[in-house]
Amino acid sequence: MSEEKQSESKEAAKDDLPPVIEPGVYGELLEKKKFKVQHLGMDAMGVEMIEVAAESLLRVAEYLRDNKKCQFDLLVSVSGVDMVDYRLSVVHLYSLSSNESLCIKVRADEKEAVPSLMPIWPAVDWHERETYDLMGIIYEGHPDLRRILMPTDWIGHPLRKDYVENDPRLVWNRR
Amino acid sequence: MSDIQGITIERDIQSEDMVVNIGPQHPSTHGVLRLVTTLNGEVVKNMEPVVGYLHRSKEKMGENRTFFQYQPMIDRVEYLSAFYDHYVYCTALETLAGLDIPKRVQYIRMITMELNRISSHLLWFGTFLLDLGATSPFFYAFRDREKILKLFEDISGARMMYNYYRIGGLNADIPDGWIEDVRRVINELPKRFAEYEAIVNKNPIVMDRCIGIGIINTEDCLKYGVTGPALRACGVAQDLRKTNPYCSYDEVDFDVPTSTDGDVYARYQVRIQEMYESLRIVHQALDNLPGGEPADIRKLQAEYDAVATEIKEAKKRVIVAQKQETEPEPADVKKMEEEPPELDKDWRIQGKKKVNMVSFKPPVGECMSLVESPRGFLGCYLISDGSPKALRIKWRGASYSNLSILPSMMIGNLYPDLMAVFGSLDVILPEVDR
Amino acid sequence: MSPVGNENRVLSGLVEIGRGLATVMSHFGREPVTLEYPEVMPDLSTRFHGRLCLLTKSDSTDLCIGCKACARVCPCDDLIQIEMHRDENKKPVIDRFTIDIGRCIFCGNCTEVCPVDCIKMLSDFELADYSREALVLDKFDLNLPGEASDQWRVEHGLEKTVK
Repeated sequence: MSEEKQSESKEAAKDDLPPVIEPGVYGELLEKKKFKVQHLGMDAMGVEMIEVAAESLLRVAEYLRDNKKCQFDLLVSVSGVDMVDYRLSVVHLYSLSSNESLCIKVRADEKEAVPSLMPIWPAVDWHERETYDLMGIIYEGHPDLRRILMPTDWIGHPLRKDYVENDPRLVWNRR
Repeated sequence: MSDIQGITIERDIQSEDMVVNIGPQHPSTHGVLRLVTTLNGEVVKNMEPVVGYLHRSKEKMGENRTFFQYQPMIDRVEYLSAFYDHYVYCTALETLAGLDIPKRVQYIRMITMELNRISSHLLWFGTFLLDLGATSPFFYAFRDREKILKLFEDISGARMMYNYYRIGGLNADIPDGWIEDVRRVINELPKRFAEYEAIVNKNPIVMDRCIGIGIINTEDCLKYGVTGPALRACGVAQDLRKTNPYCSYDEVDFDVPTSTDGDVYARYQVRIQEMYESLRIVHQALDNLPGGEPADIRKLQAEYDAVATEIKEAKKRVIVAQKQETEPEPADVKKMEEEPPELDKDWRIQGKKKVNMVSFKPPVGECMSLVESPRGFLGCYLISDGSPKALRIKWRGASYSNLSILPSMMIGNLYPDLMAVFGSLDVILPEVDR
Repeated sequence: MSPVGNENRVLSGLVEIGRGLATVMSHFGREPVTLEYPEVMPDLSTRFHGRLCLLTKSDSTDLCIGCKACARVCPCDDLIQIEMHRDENKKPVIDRFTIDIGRCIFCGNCTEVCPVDCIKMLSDFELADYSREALVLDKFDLNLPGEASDQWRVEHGLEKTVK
């Protein structure tokens, strides 16, 4: 009972504060082109953040790379973020022509899978491998998804919040 | 054998390919990098960099340490230009917390960062030519780098692991006489650089081994996310200091050196020119340093403090007089109404309200701060959930992306060029593995 | 090959040898860049991050108040261990203060947060020892005598005597 009440009150609180997020320049542009985009506002540095559904990620990415108004040609980084309930794959882009940055967030589904951006920006190769290695997000379509920083026989993905290191081989680690 | 860590190597009937395993303990790999190289005679047929030997879980460390505790760890991410790592981390937190940074702090940060760029490029110059087989430039470069490191030791107490920047300011003001020391060093350096250029630029061996080797173009750079001098050597004048000015770089005048060849020699020249530009920035920053010598600021502060205590005492006397119901002295009443003078806020080395390092909590939010490190884009992606520990700290090291282009540069080229090409990328392995 | 060509070559060779010697001679009188380290100690700055020490009062009694601020900001787990109790006058008494200098990374965080300016860094960098246990310094090793503490405070611009 109490749990139900709590969840109800949480939902009520959410209803009281509807997220008022103005769509940014690129979010608006994407919305005009009928892409499903969730606006997340600006980060502290003034970089626009958008959330894209996994199934439309590749088309959005292609648009962002090829459209004259965006031209995000340089991939800065891919980071996995563990939000405890779900995991995010965060892509940071930079445009050499307009010197603007953009942040795309993709939520990993229950199988921890996210489409790989290899066809759009080949530079994600090592970044996606690293995110897979440390966060356990599986990039579907990546040609060579294996561990890069940790040893190949490592158990678990260390950057997850619920990671516990209990490999019996690592006796030297316990003194 | 046909399978090494999942890399399948084709078998030729006529000749057998040789697999050469370079590293992880190899003097030319600048750290611990393993290159599984398949050779057909002298030609590189396949190459697979194996990284991770230096993985120290710096990102995980950031999640279970407070922001102040984590700060010394940042030095170890990229130890040759640690001021940049500190800057990028402090900027991320300062922007999250919405702190104003005094101009003096920004200028001191700019001076130290540019000196750091010179010291990093000097080390690269020495080791790069050492890779090519020339031993003397290594000693020359280290001799001059030592002078810069001495400056860093004077200001921060350590030669490589500085731990000098603080959230919202600096650890301490510059020591007395430091400005003269810097001036002496930077006036001396152009002569040294000219010396280096005289012995290296037209050296037939260097030219033979560098010109036309390891050519990349802008498309290759974008394909692998290569930034920094390697990108500028392809003719793209991409420098975050110019395009997205941070710190006080919009107040100083400098050029972005580029070259159009995109080969090893072009990268060498871009770096040498960058050192001259860095010297220009340091000169300008020293001339315009708000507040100037620390001794002057201390003197002024003491004067202001004296005035403030006078006002305080006048106030006390007035209160005592009021209690005794006597007429307070008119001079005291007049003095009481004066505002105590304050030091120019641009002259401080901390924001007006000093940030409590131990219990610093940024508001909920996230931030990706990017700077132009000596190797390219250096980024820190920081997510805060309002607690004194970060939810996630991600380091975007320039070397990580820059290293990934190596196989495509080497495949089809001669094996002896490997060290020249690899050296020209200026990869620092601790930054790759973090 | 003509004799004239040979003469020219000999001449240019001599000129080159002369130039080389001139370069060598120009370096003859200059000061060395290196230091003969064990005999000549390097000139270190006052801010040098060296071995940690505990300053004491001018009469060589403990200055530390056992607040454990240094242990809290230390980036290495359990590097600084402090045990203390309060005597009948509610004055802090330090029972145990150990620093594992073998794991210390000399970052200087602890020196910055100390409220009584007690834990500080010396410019002492020769810390090698024969065993790992010998690197765990206790209060006896860390405490700087009163006179030396006063001298340290003078060198670093702090108030000379602390009571």
